[in-house]
Amino acid sequence: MSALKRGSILVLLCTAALFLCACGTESGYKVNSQLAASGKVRLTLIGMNPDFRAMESVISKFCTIYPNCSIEYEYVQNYGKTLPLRLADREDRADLFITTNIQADSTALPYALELLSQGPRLNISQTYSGLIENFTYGGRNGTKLYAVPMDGELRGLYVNTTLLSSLGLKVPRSLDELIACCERLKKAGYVPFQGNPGSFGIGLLYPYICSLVANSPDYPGTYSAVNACEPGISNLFRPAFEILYGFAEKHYYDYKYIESSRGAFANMAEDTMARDFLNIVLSDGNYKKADDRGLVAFLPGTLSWKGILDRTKEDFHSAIEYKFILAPVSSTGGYAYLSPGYGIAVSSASLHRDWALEFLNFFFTGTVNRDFARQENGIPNTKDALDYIRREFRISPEHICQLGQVTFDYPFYQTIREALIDVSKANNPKYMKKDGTMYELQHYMDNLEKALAQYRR
Amino acid sequence: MSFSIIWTIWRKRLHSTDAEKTQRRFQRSGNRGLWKRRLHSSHHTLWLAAGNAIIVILIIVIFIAFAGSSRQKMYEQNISDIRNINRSAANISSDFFLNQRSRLINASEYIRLKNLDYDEALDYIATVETGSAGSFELLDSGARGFASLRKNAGFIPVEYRSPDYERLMKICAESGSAQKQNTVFFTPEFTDSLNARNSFAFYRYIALSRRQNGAPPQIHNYTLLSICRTKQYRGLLETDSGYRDLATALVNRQGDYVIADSAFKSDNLFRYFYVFNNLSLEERMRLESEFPADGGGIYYLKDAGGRDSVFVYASVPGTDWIAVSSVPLSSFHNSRLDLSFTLIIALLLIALMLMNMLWLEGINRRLEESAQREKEASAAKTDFLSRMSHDIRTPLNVIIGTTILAEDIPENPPETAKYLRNIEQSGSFLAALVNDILDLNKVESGKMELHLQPYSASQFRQGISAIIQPLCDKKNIAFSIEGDDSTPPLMLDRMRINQIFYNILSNSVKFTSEGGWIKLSYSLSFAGPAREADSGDRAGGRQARIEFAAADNGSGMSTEFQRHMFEAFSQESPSMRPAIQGTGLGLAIVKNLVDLMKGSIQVESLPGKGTVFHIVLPAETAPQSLIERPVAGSVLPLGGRHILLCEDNPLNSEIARKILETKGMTVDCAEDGRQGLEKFSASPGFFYDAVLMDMMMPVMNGLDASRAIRALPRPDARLIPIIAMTANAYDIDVRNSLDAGMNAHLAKPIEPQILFSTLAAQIALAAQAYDRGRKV
Repeated sequence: MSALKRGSILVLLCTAALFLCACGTESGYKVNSQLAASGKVRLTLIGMNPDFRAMESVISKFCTIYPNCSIEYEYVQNYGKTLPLRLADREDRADLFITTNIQADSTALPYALELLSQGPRLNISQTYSGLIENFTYGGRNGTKLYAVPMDGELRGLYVNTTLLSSLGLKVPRSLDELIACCERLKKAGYVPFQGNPGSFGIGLLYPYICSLVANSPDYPGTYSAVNACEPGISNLFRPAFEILYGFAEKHYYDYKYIESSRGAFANMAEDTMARDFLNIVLSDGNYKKADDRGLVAFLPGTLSWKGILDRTKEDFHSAIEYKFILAPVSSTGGYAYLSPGYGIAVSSASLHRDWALEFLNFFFTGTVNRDFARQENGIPNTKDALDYIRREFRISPEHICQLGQVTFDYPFYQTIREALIDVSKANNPKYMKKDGTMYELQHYMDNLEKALAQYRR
Repeated sequence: MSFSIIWTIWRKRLHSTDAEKTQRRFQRSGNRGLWKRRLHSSHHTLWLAAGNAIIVILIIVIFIAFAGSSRQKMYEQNISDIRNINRSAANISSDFFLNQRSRLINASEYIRLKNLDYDEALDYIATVETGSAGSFELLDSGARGFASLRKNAGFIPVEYRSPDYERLMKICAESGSAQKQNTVFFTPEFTDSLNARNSFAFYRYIALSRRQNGAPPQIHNYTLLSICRTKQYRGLLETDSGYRDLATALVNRQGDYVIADSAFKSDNLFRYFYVFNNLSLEERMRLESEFPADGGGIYYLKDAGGRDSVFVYASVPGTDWIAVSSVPLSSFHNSRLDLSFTLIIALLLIALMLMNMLWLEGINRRLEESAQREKEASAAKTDFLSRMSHDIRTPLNVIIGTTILAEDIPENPPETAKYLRNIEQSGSFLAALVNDILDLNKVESGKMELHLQPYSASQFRQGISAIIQPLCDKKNIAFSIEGDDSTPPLMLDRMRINQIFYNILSNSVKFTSEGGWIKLSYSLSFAGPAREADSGDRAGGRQARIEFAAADNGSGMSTEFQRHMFEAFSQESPSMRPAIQGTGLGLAIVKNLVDLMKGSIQVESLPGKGTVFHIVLPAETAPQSLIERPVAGSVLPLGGRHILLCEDNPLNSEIARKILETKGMTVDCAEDGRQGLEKFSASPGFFYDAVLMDMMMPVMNGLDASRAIRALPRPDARLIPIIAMTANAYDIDVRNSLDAGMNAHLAKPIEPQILFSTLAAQIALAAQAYDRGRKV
């Protein structure tokens, strides 16, 4: 055989190999040839989203690569309660399920497959460790992972830009601008902030509170102090509580008004809050759009709510425009606090465990996950998650932190949340002094100190 | 296909030997009529090509039209099938729902008629058979209650109190509505809190008395649900429709799903369309406003997988719902081959084939007719040329022969001798011209055949020297032949090989000045491995290659002439060469002969310097059985030999006799073949040494006479050499003479040297044969 012929064959083989590689991968995903060559399977993925288009898109891509596999997404209502029932169903087994963080007390724990023990069958090397760590917990036999966060979540403000524009206001970029906006809104007869007290304070200020710890000049020392709940540690968070207290004092957030006039916000369901934000009201037993301007200027919430808002806006043909911003609670803008979104887990009862794990491998491939996060309005669970936030929200690294940096040995989040709820309710007569005046800020700071003190070591 | 056939035919016609020959004949003869026929044929070809093109275009058009129509037909058939499936789903749903509804009505009516209280009602519904996939649930206005399944001492509690159950909560909250008390309603699909299975339910409001916490019984409003598992219902719809990814959903008039296959996304049909088709709000609203159309409808939209799909819908009888079925277009059944279409295409192809066959038949017929006409014309021409050749050669033979004889008269005055020499030279030139013209005609008309026989290098050397050496001697030109004479004899046409080199070397003599030189060299090479020399290559057939080089230092040729040197009648311009007599046919004949022998010829020439001809000829070695032993023909004395000369022309007879007598031979003359036969018959055995036989003679021609002599029952009849000496110089004449039993053929005008050498050789061969016969 001549050298020319050998060379030509080599070139052809290389081309074919490159072609096969290109066909067989989704930008870094390596096709599992063993599964690709196996028989037909049908997997069931259950979740709480009635319309999970981002996930459908991933499923579609996966099933294109593996034509012998089909995955059905099944919507299950009242997910928190029905999930264990559904997972326990041996007649109609689920293979994968969407879940919150599965910890030792989770009802889904008995039905979830431990993932770290799956060896090379699971490859989540492209994910962001800061998000994964939060989903791991130290069980009796060491570190366990039962679900992987599908994306990351941010807390911030939804700003009704239509309403602001109608009053000649721009989206605020600093605390001063935010306060100026609130004053103008108040004068125009609006209550600037709306929302359930359970989500209001947290949505508005938790990123700032976390940043006070994570981005402090002496992070190890500060972390240690917060973790140990050292005496006087509540003072660290005073700047945030001052802001919230000031907002309550000036009735930028009015809990009494929420209870009496904006009942929907008493309910923390996302779709009811979305309806209220977009001024969709119940009329003759049916929801209808009240106007195309709305009554709510600022709604604290999470980034993933945007999907609900978008859907509600579409359903009711609302013309209200809105924007998600990091709450500008400092002179230099807002803070980003990255926490895990919902996770995806493999059912331990799955008869197609290899396929389910392979789906996770595919799902957590960089490009696939970025596309999913984009459709889901989340932060990609990829190694560059923090860079992504910095680019998207144009903030400095000192304003960014993530859950892992503020995870302590006690329920820090719950403690702070309760304290923030208390301040949020401060202007409600029910929670005022007997003389009808608000408690001073120090009262709430003392309460916070007491709450933290119970975890003091 | 048709075009390829036409092209092939065209190409064959254009490249066929017949076509070339015909074309050359046309060119030579200037037969305009044949050209017209050719043009007429081209015209036919164009028509045929046009016909083929039209049929092919027709096939394509029909195919496209059919494909379009078939696709449309098939598409409509698919739509019709899907509509039927959809209607079937609607009817199945209707039956199923009516059944479930009846069960609910029966249960609720029983409770009402029996005036059962809450606990009794629960006990009762726990006994009602609802099928494996369903159960009853009794809920209060707060969406809390029990399933009709016992667990431990009581019933399993169920609760629908989360935002996800907003619609169910609303249903339960309305249980007090008096207007709705006797109506059966239907819930949208929900997750059964009992088992987390996707379910739907018929429900009815009922009022039951209930005792709580020891208080007196009070009437409360409840919602009684007859729950069915969605999967069970879907199972009823799953038929082997043949459509991959067929999905069905039940929706209300607003498009909200009542029960939907998982392929239907979102919670509303139009939201699904809106989201997955990137519709504008206006488009979505238009779709919603037009829904549902009476008698059903169809949408062409993308499904959740981005595939173009059809969504067909129809009302579910007995309900206010609409059954929607979706199928991706990619799942549509492929069109089947239509018989009529196949027949049409087949008929068209048959028509095309017949047309082409008829056309080919016509071409063949015309070619055959043309060939026949050509054959006839050729035969007539050959006959004409043969006669002309004979009629020219006969007097020419007399002129040359008489002149030669006259030259031998010693008393001729010098002037007379000079005139005789001139006559002889002119006669020889005229004879050469006649020979060349006939040869060229034979070669170009493809009638020249090669008569292969063993030919050794020494024979070749002798043959060439015998002719060329005297010519060179006359001009004081040094002539030499170089080559290895020990090479085995090859199968060659002696006469034509010699003719090639006579022509080339005689040209060299003509164009080389006195004192010059001419060299002929040859060498032999064999293809393949050498065989053992001693074996003598008895079988022959070994491929060989002879390379000749004929060089001179003559006047050479101009570059311009070299381009045309092989064309007939082309001659170097007089300015380049001295005026030398020639026909301009010699090199044309050489080229044709070399081509006929599948050889090659190349020329190197410089004006004033000389010329070298390189000729390469393929040949095979001669088998031993055919190789003649050397005969000393040239040295065999001819004096005293008895020759029987059969010649009807007295002058020719006289000349031949005189020529023969110059060598001391005794000649008996016969005026025709019959006389010759009689003379031979009457002669004693082995009296005559040879017979010289003219061909065209009265009474009995030379061929018949030869056959008759060979047929005589006497020993010398078979051995005596009979040599045709005739003006019939065509190959066919040569072949005829040999077939008639003659041993050699000499064309008139007679060249005495050739006549003598032929006689000597043939007599020697006969003697050898006689000796062999005697020994045997």
